[in-house]
Amino acid sequence: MYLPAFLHRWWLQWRRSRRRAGGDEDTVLARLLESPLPDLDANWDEAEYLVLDFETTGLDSREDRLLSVGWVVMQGASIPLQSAHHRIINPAMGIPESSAVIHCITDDRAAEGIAELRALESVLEALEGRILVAHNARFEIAFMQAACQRIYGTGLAVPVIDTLQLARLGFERRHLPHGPGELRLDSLRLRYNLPRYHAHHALIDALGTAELFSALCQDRGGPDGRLPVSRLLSPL
Amino acid sequence: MAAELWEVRDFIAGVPAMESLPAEALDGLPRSLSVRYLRRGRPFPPPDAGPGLWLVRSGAIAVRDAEGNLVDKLGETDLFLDDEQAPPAEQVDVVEDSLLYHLPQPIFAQLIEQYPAFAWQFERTRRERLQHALERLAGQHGGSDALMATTVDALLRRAPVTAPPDCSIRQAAERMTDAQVSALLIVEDDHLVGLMTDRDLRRRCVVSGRSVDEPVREIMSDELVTIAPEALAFEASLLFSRHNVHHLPVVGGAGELVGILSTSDLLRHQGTHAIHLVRDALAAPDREAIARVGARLPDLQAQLVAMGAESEPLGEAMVTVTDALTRRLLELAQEELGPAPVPWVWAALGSQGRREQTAHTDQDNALILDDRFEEGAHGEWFAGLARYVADGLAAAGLSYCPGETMAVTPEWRQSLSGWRRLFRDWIENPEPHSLMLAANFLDMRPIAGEASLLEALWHDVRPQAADNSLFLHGLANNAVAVRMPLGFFRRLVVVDDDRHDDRLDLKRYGLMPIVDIARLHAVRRGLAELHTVSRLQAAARAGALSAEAADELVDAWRFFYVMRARHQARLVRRGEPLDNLLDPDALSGLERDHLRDAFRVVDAHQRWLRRHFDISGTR
Repeated sequence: MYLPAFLHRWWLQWRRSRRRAGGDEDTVLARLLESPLPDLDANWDEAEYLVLDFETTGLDSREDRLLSVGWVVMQGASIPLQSAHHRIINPAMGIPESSAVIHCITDDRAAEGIAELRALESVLEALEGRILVAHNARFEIAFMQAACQRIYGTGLAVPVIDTLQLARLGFERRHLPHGPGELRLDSLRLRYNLPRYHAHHALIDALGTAELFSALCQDRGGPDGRLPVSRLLSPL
Repeated sequence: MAAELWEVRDFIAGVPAMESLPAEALDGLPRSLSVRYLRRGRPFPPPDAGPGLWLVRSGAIAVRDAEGNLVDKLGETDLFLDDEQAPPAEQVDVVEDSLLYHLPQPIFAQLIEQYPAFAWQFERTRRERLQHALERLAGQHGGSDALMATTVDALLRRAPVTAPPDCSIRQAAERMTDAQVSALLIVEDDHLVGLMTDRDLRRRCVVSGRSVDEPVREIMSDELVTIAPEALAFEASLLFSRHNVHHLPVVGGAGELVGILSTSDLLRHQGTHAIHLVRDALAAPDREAIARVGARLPDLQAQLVAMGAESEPLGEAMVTVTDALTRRLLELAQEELGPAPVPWVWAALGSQGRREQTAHTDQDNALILDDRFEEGAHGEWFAGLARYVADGLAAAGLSYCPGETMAVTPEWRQSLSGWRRLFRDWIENPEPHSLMLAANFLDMRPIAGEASLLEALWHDVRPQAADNSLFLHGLANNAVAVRMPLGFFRRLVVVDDDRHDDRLDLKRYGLMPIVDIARLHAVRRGLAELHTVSRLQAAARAGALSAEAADELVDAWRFFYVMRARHQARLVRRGEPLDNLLDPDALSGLERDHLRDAFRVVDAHQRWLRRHFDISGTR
């Protein structure tokens, strides 16, 4: 199920070279694709992570747009809140009521947000040398790929860890029944004795995901705490 | 940006230790923190984190000493300071999966530097923290000018209204009307010679048909009850009731007139519950009236607490009323039984004996009789006296002592020689039971009768007790018998690894251990003091313990005492029966911290006693 570290690295580098060829020369994305990959053999608490969450106008990465971005950086097991980052993004489209009731970002607030390009650039810059972590990472990746395609004409290739997948594997390894309800961020946090947060704020969800990630890693790690990053990566 | 981390900010703002930080400091704080999640069983602090202040967001941390004994248990909102001063022998473990915030040492140091109100919790000694707590307690009310702490001159409101003795009654009455006073001080050559009141005007002028043109000298009272300006308000209240007057001229030491105090001055100042209770007790015609007075003791306590009374004035007020009830019951009993066959003294013990009572107390008392006492001839009379008073006190709300340390028990109703034999036996054979009895009866204080009988007993007993090291060892053993709780964890009192109580018994885990410690030191030095505070202070002067240790214990005792009084005042307001059991859940974070400091004061002294008296124990 897991790619060995060397295969994962080889695969990522192959994707990166393909995508470098497909895009412009001197963009933030190009710099990211050219930067060295994080060490995937490192133990989980020796690596750096960018734990990310988006709020969006809807669920369709082709039609919908980013509304806000929040992240925290993890240095090993520690989450320095100095790194906490949150921006509202101007989606350049109306916000459907169905999503506004979830994230509580109104058209007026969104209109004061930064442009999608700037938001994306700041994420790509922050990703350099770090592993991307998100809860249900497929969603974050899909929106980032779509934005990259729109802006740079090519996609990105970074190592990704999905806390939802990690949690599911945990349930499966212990033969515990689990449905979508058990795999929600707030249910999982409760399982690990983490405090209840207000959901659907990009930064708070990112912080909540980071704390959960730390819990999942310590749950997975053996008595010696050994757990290489490659064992956590999402085979996207 | 800080607003975006409101989940962290709001939590920190709710942490008691952070209460004193201003909003701008709180807003900036989240960005200085690192978040760590630690699984159960992990060592703490994590080796890579560096020194600083840890804050428990969720989960639990256990702190143990080098021997593995639990010394502290931290839960949500608790702090752990990891700096060079932390005892190196400590073993700290995560006992529940925990989420923690870490504030690096340099930023913590900055906060300490910048905000003194925040800093005192970390920088100062335990003693200073406790004093801060006591000040806080007093500051939560209107200031601490309780009845017993107020002097007469503080109650005087205006310059005295005076007239010469040869002034006419009419002129005097006009002056009183103009000045709106009900009493006029009659002064001749700067000296007080008389007092004319509304009552004198009515009785000695109007009713007797005297002409208003006669001089005021003719109707003024010249047998005057006066009071000194530095006398306690409480003494004034006693004079009012004893002499049945409503005005007391206040006269200084050189005979100079200072002013006049009226009953309404006292009423205005205090509500005078205690005064009324004492007056009503002393004037009570029967046991039913006594019972009604006793039923008002809880209200008195609640009222004094509301006025911010400190521990000693509060205890003194409660004791004064209880003493008055006891004295009146003894008078009533003698009215029924006839004169006593031999001299006697009625002694109170327990908290009443030590003058540190609250409204929630049992009666503890004893009779010491002259050696001419013969059981056959006089036994019935004294049994009747004891029964009458015990029943009267019980009806007044001072329930019978469950241990039967009451004068109704024949054993505690003995001749002086009998008491001497009892004490000699207790002191020379300090078994657990005799030690307990000796400790109880060492707190005896005369309430009524021949105080010299008790003095004669102490004259023999105190040197015997002070010289018997086995007896002192036994008292020390008692003083360390109750291990103090470690602190609080969530809604529970952590006594040790196995025992977590849902209520804090302030008597068992606070007041009594300090009372025992104070008694031990007083007995060691043969001191006459009874009040725990006086015992500790006198014992320190006599070199039994250091002044610092005594001061710390006094502060801790006062803190426990006021916390208990306040708790009971709350119960009074809610109409619930009184007890000594605090609900940890109802305590503020600061109160928990202060209680923990007070526990540690007692614990530290208990450890010292163990070493000093060579007592083995696990802690």
